[in-house]
Amino acid sequence: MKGATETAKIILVSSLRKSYLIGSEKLEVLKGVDFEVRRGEFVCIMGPSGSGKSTLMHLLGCLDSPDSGSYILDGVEVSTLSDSQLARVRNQKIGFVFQAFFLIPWATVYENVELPLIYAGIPFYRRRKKVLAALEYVDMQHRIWHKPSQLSGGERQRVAIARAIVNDPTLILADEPTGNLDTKRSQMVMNLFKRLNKQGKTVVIVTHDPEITTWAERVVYVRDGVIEKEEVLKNDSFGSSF
Amino acid sequence: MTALVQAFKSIMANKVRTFLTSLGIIIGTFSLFVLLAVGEGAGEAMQDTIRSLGSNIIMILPAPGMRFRARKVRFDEEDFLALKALDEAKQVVGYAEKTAIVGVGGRKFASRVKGIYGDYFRAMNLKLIKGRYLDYFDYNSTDRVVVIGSLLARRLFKEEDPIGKLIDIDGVKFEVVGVVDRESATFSLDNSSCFVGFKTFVAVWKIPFFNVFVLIARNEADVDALQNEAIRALYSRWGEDFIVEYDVLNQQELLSTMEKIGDIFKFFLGVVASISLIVGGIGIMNIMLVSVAERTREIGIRRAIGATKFNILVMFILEAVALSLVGAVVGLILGWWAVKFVDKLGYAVSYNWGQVIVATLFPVVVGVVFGFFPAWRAACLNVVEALRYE
Ligand SMILES: Nc1ncnc2c1ncn2[C@@H]1O[C@H](COP(=O)(O)OP(=O)(O)OP(=O)(O)O)[C@@H](O)[C@H]1O
Ligand SMILES: [Mg+2]
Repeated sequence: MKGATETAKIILVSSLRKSYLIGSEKLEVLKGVDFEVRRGEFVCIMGPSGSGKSTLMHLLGCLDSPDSGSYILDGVEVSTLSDSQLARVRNQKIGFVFQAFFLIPWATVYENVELPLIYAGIPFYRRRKKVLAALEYVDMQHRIWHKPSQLSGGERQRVAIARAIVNDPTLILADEPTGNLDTKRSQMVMNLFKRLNKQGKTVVIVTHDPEITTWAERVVYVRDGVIEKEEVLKNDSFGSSF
Repeated sequence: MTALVQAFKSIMANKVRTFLTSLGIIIGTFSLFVLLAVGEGAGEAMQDTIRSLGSNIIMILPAPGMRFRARKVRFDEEDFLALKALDEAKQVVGYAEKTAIVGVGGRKFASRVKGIYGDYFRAMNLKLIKGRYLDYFDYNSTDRVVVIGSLLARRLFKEEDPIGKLIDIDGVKFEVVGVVDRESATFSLDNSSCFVGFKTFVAVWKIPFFNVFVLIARNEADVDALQNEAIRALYSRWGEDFIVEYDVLNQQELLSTMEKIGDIFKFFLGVVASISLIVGGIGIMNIMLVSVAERTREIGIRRAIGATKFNILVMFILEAVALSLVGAVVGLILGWWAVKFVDKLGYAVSYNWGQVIVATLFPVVVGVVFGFFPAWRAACLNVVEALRYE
């Protein structure tokens, strides 16, 4: 039953290494990361600044490729995929939420959320329904024709989340999604992630804020490019906040 | 389709920049279209004119390329008489010509003045529509009298009767005695030219030699013999220089020579227009490189949510194409308008959908070619680095 246990793990990372060349100096950021995420799990990644969390998230999100090591995403070894296959994976399987929102400034809320569907090749008349549903999910349907610059930080992040979920991915990756938000807005955004998780999505969130980790089932601590420790929480904060 | 709409939206977000970038393409397309139309028109007009002259004609012309250089052969009355003495020649005309400014009242036009010797009008099939032709006395005096082409008459005098009026040619007053017209051709330079007697021409402009001889054979069977006799006559006086500097052509040879000249003409016009289009293309490449740099973050975002390299490549190439298409359309509209205007002035133009298509496709090709490099750069950006770009 080895196959079953493997596909039960949506993320299976072993001995992942990544370094950057700065001039002629080689900076080792990830020094052999071993890490797993079960399907439907809610995981937080914590660690000091510069420990390599974002680097790890970029690898998990197929935005970058590791120097060595293996990353099996949903049963597929990522290093065997071509550039356009990776783009497809990012488009269909992963929803990425960034700390700085990364909305396209000259496009409207609607257009920003629509974009992944365009790259997925979904025809116009089916896109509309999906975009509206995603915006309704994050309660932003009333700001469809606004530009990102006309929205507050919390609203922008909700739009970014709508964009991440519009193509119905199984894995949601968020790199400090509340890093630019105050407590109240952070709660709102975390509620969204929890709800998504309850609906069966796997959620991995990087954070600096210990408060945030209370939402997770498991916290992974990264230090100096390796996993320092893990902590399993018996989590029912979702229930208590409603 | 969505992508093309997106591309237009994107370039319309920055109208001033789009306009300035397209300017090169606008000018390029404009000149390509206008030059094609004018070149084609002039060529067709020449051919029509020659065809209307009949098959008995022989012309002795400066060889192409010899036109603008100082020639050693200077035909004078002696040559004229030698040609006139040929048995097969029914008629011989010699003329010299230059460009001059012709004016009456406040109106002024550039025109050709021909100083003619012999009955040019009959040899060249010009019909008299008013007044009289130049006559024996005009050819043998330096009286300031002139016959003008119908188009020039209309331009100078509108509805008025030009006969007996004075016009100004390069500052010298001439009396108009006749108006001639070549109707068999769609267009003719002669319709906008002035004709004065050769002696008058020499007196006013001090150019005492003929440029061109026109010979009409007695009948078609004599054309070859006349051609040979004419060459022999002039060769005996001028030797090798004549062979180098002049062509003696019958109607068929005239047609093919004109065609050749037309092709060379069109080729150079095409080169000029292409250069301006290529300069326009470089402008597009330049602004696309700026645009790619400015939108690095956006490229990262698009890649992160599922755009392939190919998607990004196509996106930027389409933007470059949209830029050049805008330029092409504006250039074509302006060009169309200019060609209509030239047409109204009475000059020969010839425009058709073929030229429109060439003048549209060329800029699009330029857009693709010069958009490719910036687009390729955009497509090859590293996703994470693009996202980190400030
Ligand atoms: N593209 C890059 N080129 C060079 N160095 C990089 C690059 N990306 C990251 N680094 C370096 O790698 C190290 C880890 O960066 P990373 O962004 O993963 O840290 P982090 O854990 O996310 O930190 P923070 O909590 O501040 O976001 C840092 O020292 C950073 O300077
Ligand atoms: Mg980080």
